[in-house]
Amino acid sequence: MLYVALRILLYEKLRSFIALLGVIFAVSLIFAQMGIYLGLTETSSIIIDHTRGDIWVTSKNCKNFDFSQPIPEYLQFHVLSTEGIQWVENLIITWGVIKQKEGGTEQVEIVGYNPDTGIGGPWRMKVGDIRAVKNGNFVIVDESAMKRLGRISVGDYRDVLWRRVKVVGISQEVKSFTTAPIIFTSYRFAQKLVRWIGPDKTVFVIAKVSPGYSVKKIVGELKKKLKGVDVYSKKDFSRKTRFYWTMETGVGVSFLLTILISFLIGFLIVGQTIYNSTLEHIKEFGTLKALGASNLAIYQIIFSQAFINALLGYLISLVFTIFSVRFYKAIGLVMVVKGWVNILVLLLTLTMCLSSAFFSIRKVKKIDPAILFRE
Amino acid sequence: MPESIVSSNLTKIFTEGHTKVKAVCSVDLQLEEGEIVGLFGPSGSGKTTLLSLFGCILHPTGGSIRIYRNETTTLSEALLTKMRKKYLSFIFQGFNLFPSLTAYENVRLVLWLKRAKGGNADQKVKDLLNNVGLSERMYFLPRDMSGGEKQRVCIARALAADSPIILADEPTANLDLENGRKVMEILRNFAKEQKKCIVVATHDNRLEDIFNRIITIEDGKIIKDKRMPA
Ligand SMILES: Nc1ncnc2c1ncn2[C@@H]1O[C@H](COP(=O)(O)OP(=O)(O)OP(=O)(O)O)[C@@H](O)[C@H]1O
Ligand SMILES: [Mg+2]
Repeated sequence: MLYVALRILLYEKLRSFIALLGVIFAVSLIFAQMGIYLGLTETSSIIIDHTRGDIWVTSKNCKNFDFSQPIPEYLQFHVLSTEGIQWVENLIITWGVIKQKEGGTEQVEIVGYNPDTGIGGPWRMKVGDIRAVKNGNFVIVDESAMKRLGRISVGDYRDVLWRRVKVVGISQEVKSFTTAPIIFTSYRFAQKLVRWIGPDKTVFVIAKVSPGYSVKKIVGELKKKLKGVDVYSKKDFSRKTRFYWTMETGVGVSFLLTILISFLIGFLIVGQTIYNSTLEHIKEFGTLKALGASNLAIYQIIFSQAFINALLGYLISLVFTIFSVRFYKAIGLVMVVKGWVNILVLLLTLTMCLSSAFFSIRKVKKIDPAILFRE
Repeated sequence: MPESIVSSNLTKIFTEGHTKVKAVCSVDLQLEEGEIVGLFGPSGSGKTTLLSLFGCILHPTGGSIRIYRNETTTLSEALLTKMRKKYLSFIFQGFNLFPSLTAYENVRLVLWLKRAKGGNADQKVKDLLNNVGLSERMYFLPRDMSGGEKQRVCIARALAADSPIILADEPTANLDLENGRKVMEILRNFAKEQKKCIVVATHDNRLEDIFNRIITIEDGKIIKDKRMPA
């Protein structure tokens, strides 16, 4: 039946072409929306996901990674004195402004990490070493920040929060969800640089659980033990941050809506095309019925048309999507193309096309062979 | 000779609003295997209605139809479909061929839908098209064939269904005399050689000599039933 369906589609070239375009349009849009959405979620928790350790202690009611309040530094000792904790580390994430070369300022996200352990610091260096920020007003700037900050090389000086800092390294892959450039510095210097944090405050305490201990259990214990702060496992904090940026801000809903609309457009275009084609073939189908073909056999021809549209449209969209990843990268968007996303989109495409064929199925079911006698 | 179709007191009344049209009126007929029957009569006399009743496509208002001894008037819709599949085949005035499929494929489709096996089916389709004189046109699309050729494809398609009864409504109405005659001769040969029961409704008096039997109908009643000498 696939063969018959293909012949019908090839015969009605223009109509088939329009249906195929509809599928490609819808599916490419779904791919792009899903890919960009996933890219955004991944970006929003990228530092958490790249930081070693199992537990994050944050200020009370902190909603995400990017906007958390300072907490007392000594909390680390309370954490460390808990049974099953292997090590603890402080990490500062806060905001500041950087002066542009040609004047004007730009907001930046400042990460203060311990250069001896590198925990919370950049994970991939293009130039320089992560330890280079130690003992001084040194910063590492991420490559992705150059679009906002202009060309920056190791050895350059810039003003961050009205203090002169020296660029000692260039990191890679640390894109920020907020699009603000990210700059890394040492934990100690961050405390000095950002006055509202000060010498005895941190923003996060990160802890590693010893092998053989349950992260979940220790999170529970710490929650009871520490007052005035929140305690999360790394996974939960990552999820919370992703959820905040994609759902609570409404970004996710708009993605979902676009996907839904694309689905509907594809559904209607394919449904309408197959329906028209079925109407035009109603006498032929009726004749087959009169000659003893079952409804089911005729449905196969119609579903095959939908199936061909789905498969072809999907494959073209997939190729198109893979090529467009580069384009998205060039305009600064991360688009994720992944095995399970591809399979999900394939299932969506099949659902879209096959369900749209049901209009035609109903029509075939109702054919009365008596019409064949009336010309 | 075995009886293919037996009707007794067969009646069909159409009701449109308050008016009733007696399209078929107390028809008693016995149609047999191996005969090609011409159903003649003026326009509106009830030829198409009678064929539709024989073909289990319309329900009669009264009387009965037996197809190979099966009473059909009491059967459900699903069972009627089964009866059609087993015993009945049709040729219509409009050809209803898939424009995107070649002559071969149009015939082959019927076998596909009935799930016939590959190699045999292929040969069968070729034989059928050969028999209707279309071996040269096997891979033509309907748009590249004349009306007569198209109707011959329809005959091949109807024969592919392998049913003992073929009902044809005005199969030659869209054809010129020469092509119409050719088509009718093919049908006559099939009736004779393959012991089929073929009923043809037609206006065309010039084709009378083709038939073994001529039934004339007027206002839904049979007014003449004449067997031709062999
Ligand atoms: N579905 C219907 N509803 C109402 N009346 C109908 C219907 N079908 C046929 N008739 C009527 O029944 C009568 C017989 O019609 P039928 O089509 O059987 O004639 P016919 O002999 O085939 O005519 P023609 O040679 O013009 O094809 C006509 O008066 C027609 O108007
Ligand atoms: Mg008629």
